[in-house]
Amino acid sequence: MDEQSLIQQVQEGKNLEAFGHLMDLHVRRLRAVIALSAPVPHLIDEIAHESFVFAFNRIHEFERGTSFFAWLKSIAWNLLRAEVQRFSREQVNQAKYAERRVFEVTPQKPLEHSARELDGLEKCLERVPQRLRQLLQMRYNLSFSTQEIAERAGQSAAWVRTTLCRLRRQLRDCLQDRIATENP
Amino acid sequence: MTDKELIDRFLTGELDEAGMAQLEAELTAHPDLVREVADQQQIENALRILLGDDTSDQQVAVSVLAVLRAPSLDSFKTDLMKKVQSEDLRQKREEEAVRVRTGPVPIVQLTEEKPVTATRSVAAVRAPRRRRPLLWGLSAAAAVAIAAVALLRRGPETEPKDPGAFVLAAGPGVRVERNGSSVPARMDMMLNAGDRLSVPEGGSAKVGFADDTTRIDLKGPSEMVFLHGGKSKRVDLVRGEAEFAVASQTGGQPLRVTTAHSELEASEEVALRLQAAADFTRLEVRKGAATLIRRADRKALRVGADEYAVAGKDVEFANKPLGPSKAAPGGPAVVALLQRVQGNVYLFTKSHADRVPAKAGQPIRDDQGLLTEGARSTAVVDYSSDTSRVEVGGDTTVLRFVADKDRTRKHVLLEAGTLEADVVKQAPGRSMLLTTAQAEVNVIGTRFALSSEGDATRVQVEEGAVQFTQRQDRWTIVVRSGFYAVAGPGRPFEALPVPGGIRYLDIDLGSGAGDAEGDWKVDGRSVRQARASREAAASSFLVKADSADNVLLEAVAEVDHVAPVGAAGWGFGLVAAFGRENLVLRTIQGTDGGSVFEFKDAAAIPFEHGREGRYRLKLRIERRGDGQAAILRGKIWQGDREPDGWMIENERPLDGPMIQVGFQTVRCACTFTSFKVKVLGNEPR
Repeated sequence: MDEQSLIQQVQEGKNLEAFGHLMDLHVRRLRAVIALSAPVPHLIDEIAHESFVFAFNRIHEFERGTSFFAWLKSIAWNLLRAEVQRFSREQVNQAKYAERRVFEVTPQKPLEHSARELDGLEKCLERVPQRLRQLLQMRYNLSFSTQEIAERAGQSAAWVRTTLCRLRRQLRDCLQDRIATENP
Repeated sequence: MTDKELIDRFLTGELDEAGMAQLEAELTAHPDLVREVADQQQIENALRILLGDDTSDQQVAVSVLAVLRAPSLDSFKTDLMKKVQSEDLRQKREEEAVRVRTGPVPIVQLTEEKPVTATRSVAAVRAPRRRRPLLWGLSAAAAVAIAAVALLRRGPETEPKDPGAFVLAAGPGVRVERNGSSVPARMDMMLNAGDRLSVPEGGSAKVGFADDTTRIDLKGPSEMVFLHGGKSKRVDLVRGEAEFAVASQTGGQPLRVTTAHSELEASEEVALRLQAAADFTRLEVRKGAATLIRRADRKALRVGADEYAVAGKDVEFANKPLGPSKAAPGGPAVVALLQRVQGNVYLFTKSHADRVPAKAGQPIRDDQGLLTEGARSTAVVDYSSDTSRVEVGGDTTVLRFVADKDRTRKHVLLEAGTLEADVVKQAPGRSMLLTTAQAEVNVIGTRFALSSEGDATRVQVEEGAVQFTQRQDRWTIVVRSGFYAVAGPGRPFEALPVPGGIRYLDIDLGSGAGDAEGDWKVDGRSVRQARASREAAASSFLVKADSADNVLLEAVAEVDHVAPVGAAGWGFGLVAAFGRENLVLRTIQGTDGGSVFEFKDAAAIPFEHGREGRYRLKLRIERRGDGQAAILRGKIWQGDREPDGWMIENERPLDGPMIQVGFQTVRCACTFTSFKVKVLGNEPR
């Protein structure tokens, strides 16, 4: 069943099963887009969760034929903005110095921008050489500890940490280059 | 610690106080570093989502559905107050009627209510690196509410309703058997006491408990019966394998897992793997500790982190270390090295039950065997004495890698399964022996595949020849390149051509020669360079290979080093020499966007890749009818998945038959392996 039919079912009868399928279609990308904007990691799932609950409760306001993901993004963006303001008020005196400084410098950018970053990141990932890709798989897919990765790669733990850090930097540079090229 | 290490530790939540102090000092001294950490954090989180499994996606979906299914908080409060008031009223009437209080006030049946839910449940209290499922937080909130009301009513202690467990993920073919009927398992499905979860071969399923973060990952084929959740979690692992991530069970009973041979109890936070087989139960503890009780005599064993224990028939019931095996001084000697491991690969000494997980880089002792579980599990074993290599396929058991009496002699004892051997030419009188229940393969130096299944053993020779002996009658035949033979009852014992006429040229790499600039060295079946040429000119290694047939050259190239980048590019490729002309298929990586994959001086396509990694190359040379011109095709790729089509094609005249083959590099040092030249029949392209 296509997305628009699922939306119609939800709008007509608050069909939870259909809404479940809609979530399956969008949950990963929505979380990834939020991840590229959220200043603290734990907000990612929180905002994704609230966005879907909000969307279900206001599903009658969604205009069929338009992009459901774009609507979700706009909901998430508003929730994230409010949450960041609340978080900054409540947590600023509690967070450790490093976390607070990171929170302070994280720019508030529209989720639309983060969505373009996500597209760029996926394309940049395709260009990562196989050996380094295995490193990413071990860290992010298999959830190996740094020590386990080091043993498998025949390298030191320091090498693993340094290489991953360098790789993330390269991915960030790559996606920014892509965005700059697309929007000179 | 460097900045990069500090940042990575910060992102993974592994920074101790001293490290955090160092990071804070760095952030204060270098304001630019703060932005770097912020950027790294966002990429880290995005990669975890993009490359991670779908557990967190499903947890978000489950939590959303739990919220949407629950009645609103207002209606819950209203219903609750109505029930409390009506219960009070009823009690007063009863008390007035009998004027004696005969017993405790009954508890309001709140446990029938769905959990109280709120859309923000786990916000800022969550630790940055831990993603607790929202549903568990919601259910816990509900449990607290229920407990609070129960206490207020001062009723007798009654065990709350089992909050149960959920199917967090279920692959194809996973089913739940309930009350005599079987239904497909689906995400978010509540499990009731007595539900039997069946996971098919190759499948998987994840189960989470509603009241904490305890999770069970089942790997197929397996069966598990859910018995109870909440404060007395119990499951029965009927057969198969499961990974348990158990949350601390303080305040309740330990999580209990029963199998045919044992009972497991886990009360503290622990990560473990349990395997229930017909003859034994095996427990491996990665983190924390758990108690394994042997059913036969109720003997209990505390198994700690990095330990395992086995309960079963004729198996010693004791803790043993999980770590890599080490050759003790004076003890068994190391005979080989596990070069690569994929999937479920184990080493064992006495029996399969005694196995430990194998890791890449781990030595193999002369008293150890190796087994792979699952069709996609593989291992690559390199002998220490030379560069002979054995690639062990899926679902295979190799009992030994050397002879029992003369442990310097290679003797592969294949119990079942498949392997491919690439054997370096052995010294006179030291041939390598491979044995199965039906046959023996005697090898001096060649490349072949051996498989043993049921009552038959099959050998297929890629390159060179082997002596193949049927053990039943000690009859020996010679099987050459492009032929195969099967030893087994009721089968003709003869060498037959491989369907499709597959044959490989005998390539003696040891007789090849490279130019001094490239510093080429032959090491068994590998050809490596000690250093990269710094000049722009190419460096080649060539070996004799006479053929006027259509051929397919293939090799794996690993880039070891690239000369410092100047204006010139660098690259590597395959060479086939015809008369005075060398045909070169290569990749050249330029510094100014001029990166190509090319037939040198003939055709090129844009192609970019990194400065490190393993690359596979294929070059197909197919002569036209007149024998003078040929159609040339090439491809290059990384990883195991070969591209379907050819990437580059060219047609050109050839100067007579092929006389040499080899490799070429430009301003880089590579190691070439798995080099073979296949003689093509009339097979499809």
